[in-house]
Amino acid sequence: MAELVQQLINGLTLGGIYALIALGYTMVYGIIQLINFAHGDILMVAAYVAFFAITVLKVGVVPALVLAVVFCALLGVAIERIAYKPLRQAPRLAALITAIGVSLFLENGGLWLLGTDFRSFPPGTVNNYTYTLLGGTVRITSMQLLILALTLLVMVILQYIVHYTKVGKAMRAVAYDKEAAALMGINVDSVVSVTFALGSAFAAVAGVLWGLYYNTVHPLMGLMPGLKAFVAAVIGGIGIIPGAMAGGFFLGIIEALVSGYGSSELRDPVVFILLILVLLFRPAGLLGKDTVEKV
Amino acid sequence: MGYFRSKNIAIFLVIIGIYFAVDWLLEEGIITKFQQVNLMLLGINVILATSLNLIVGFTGQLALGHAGFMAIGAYVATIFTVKLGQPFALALAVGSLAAALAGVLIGLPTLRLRGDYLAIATLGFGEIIRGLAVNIEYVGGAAGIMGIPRLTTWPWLYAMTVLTVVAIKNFINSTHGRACLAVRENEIAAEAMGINTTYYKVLAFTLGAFFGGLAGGLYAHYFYLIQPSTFSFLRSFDILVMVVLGGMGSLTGSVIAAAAITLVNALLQDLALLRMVIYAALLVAVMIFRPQGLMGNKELTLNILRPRGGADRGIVGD
Amino acid sequence: MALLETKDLTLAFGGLAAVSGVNLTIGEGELVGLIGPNGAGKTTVFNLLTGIYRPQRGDILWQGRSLVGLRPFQITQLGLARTFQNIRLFGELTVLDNIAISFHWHSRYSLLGAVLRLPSYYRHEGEMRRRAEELLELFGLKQYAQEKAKNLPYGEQRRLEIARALAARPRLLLLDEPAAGMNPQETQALMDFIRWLRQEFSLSILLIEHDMSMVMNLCERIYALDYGQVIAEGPPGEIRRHPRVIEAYLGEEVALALAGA
Repeated sequence: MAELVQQLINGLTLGGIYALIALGYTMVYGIIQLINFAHGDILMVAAYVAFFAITVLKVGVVPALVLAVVFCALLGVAIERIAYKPLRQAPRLAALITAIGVSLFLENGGLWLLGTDFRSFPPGTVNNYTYTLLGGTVRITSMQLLILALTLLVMVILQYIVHYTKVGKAMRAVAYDKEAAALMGINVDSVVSVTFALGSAFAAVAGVLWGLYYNTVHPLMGLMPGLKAFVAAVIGGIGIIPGAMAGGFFLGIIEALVSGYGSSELRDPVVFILLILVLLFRPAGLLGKDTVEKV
Repeated sequence: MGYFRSKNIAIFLVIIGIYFAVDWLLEEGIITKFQQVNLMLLGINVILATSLNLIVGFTGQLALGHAGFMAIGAYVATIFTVKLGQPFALALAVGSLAAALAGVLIGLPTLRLRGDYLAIATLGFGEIIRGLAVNIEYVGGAAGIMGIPRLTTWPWLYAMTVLTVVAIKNFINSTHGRACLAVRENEIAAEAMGINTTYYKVLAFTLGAFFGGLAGGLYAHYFYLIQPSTFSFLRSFDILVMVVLGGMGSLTGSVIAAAAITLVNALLQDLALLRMVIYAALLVAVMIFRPQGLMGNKELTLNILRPRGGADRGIVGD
Repeated sequence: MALLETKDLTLAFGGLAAVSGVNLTIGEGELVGLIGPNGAGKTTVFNLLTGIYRPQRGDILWQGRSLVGLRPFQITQLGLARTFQNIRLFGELTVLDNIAISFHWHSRYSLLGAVLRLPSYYRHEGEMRRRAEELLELFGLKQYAQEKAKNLPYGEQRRLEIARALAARPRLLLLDEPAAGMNPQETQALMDFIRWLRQEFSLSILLIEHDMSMVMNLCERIYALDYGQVIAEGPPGEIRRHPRVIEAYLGEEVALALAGA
């Protein structure tokens, strides 16, 4: 029992980070039907921005997080403008290959500029307390609580933006029908930019949390979380915001259970087998239906 | 008519000529050890790029799991030579067939999926193969298999490379290859013209997997060592870069791009990381400014470039 | 026995009946028209006949044999070929290859024959090429044989689509708005061409067309469709005067006039 609760806590923490990343995938897919392969690498960039802010600029965690979020939002917009926008009318294959190119560019650029070393945040960057529950058998750290709190906060903010703001309404309109939205006077280019900015900002939050949680940064650190988060988005139903959240948590818990009760080396194959099963039997995702909320 | 056209004879002589020229250079020691490694890689990359092009460029199905097929070929062939003590030829054949079988099994269900979903499903498949290799103690787990005998010699490599390119080229320039091109161009129309599109998608996928497996077997028996990490999806991306830069739907393009990238890699050995940055930037630039790649879907032939949909006389003429 | 017969053919898209209770009969050698206002369900009927959609109710009989559940390529192989309203050529391939692809399922050499270039390959490829060239000659497209299909002028693309459908050697040819985008002279030439086709290839033809004068002059029998249902059936003279047909078309014109189109 205690073991199970412990794995669920670990799974929720991991799942929260996946959910944050998955949001960006799903928003971008909803708007321009592109699998933004480079999305996971934004996470890596954010972790490095925070890392250098803390080690070189000697700022605290919160300013470092803000810096990373702003930087990545701008980076996301820049990537869209430079690499994806010229291909919006091109076959989807071309756009997808471009996204792979951008991803390889960020990864290899990172390896070239920053080297292949794993780096750690200086000790004491975050004060990590451990709380025990259920008579000391279950442990939860303040870092895990922070991750869960921030994840929930981001989700509330996103729901607010999508449902109660003008730009959110525009996003929903563009996701539903780009041409019609443009005819109604919506600036599609700006909406796409906002989507990339938001998605990248969420990935940046995830990246900084990931770096702090595992206390390492590396140029290829975005690869697997990016891929997994995409799987989460597909499992939840790509293009559906609550789907991305549910998919993220679902995947995180599955991974924790496989690691806890099976072997951590079975984790990745299980995730991808799950992906293929979902694609084959429920390609619209677990939450996908005809009447979906798309963004 | 048939095999004995003057053009075919000329091509045959050129192929034989290249073989003996390189063989002589190897015998005389003019080709250094380092160059030899790259020569072998070049052949393997040509096999990988042309076989992936069959799936992506000619049949229009974006598959990102080619490293998975390569892994199956490498592991199965290695099991046959190292663990079971079977001859190399048999090991290569079984490895390729195993990859082809995997191609059928994964192709049948996934090829129903639309473009980007197919890409993700095949990528996932490649990672599953790798994950399985990590978890199977018999094949060494994450450490892989070491001490594989170096059985991939120049004659083997050259013969297999030529065989692959000629087989794929002959396939494409046949009614079966045209059926694949029709699937790429317009699946609904292809079906309406009496073509079993499912069959041809799976067929292209299976043939591509077969040759991917062949490349894996050759790779394993040259580099002593195979590990699951050798066959990650980054390798699938590398192969895709060759196909895209050479031109999706151009066999000669794939051969040229595979050769060029292998050579550039060798020349810029010391700048390995920067080189990868440049490839990545090139991939994006090509998609934006010249999406048809170096060769488009044209082929380099003896009579210069012909504006054909890749369905005509390729490098070997006819 | 009729060549093709549909019984109570029905298909709805999310509650909206696109085709409902349609009964068609096409006899050997007949030239039949299918008319109706926009959105009446004409192309949906074609998509049902060729297996792209599967009917929710009813049956399609080809010489007495049901086609329901067969895949499009199987239906084509039974002798039913079509063109598309929005041209669907193999754009990046040559005109010759476009034709050759339709010969594909008649080809008689194996995969091994292709890869090993066995004598069967050369014999059958030569034969296919010769027949494709013959067909292009008949259609006046021979000079384009090596052009990419997407580079052909519009009218030639339409003709190539018909040629490609014929290369599949159908007994029944389905033409979806062959005269779309043509001027009166071109339409007249097309009509002569279709009549000649029927003779030359001993075909039956089912034709969707918007151009009333063309359908009335060309077809021996006409089905009029509105809201997915057959509202009239008969020779052109009857259809022309049929009150429900007039109503359906008049309704459309009035609606268009009101919309300011």
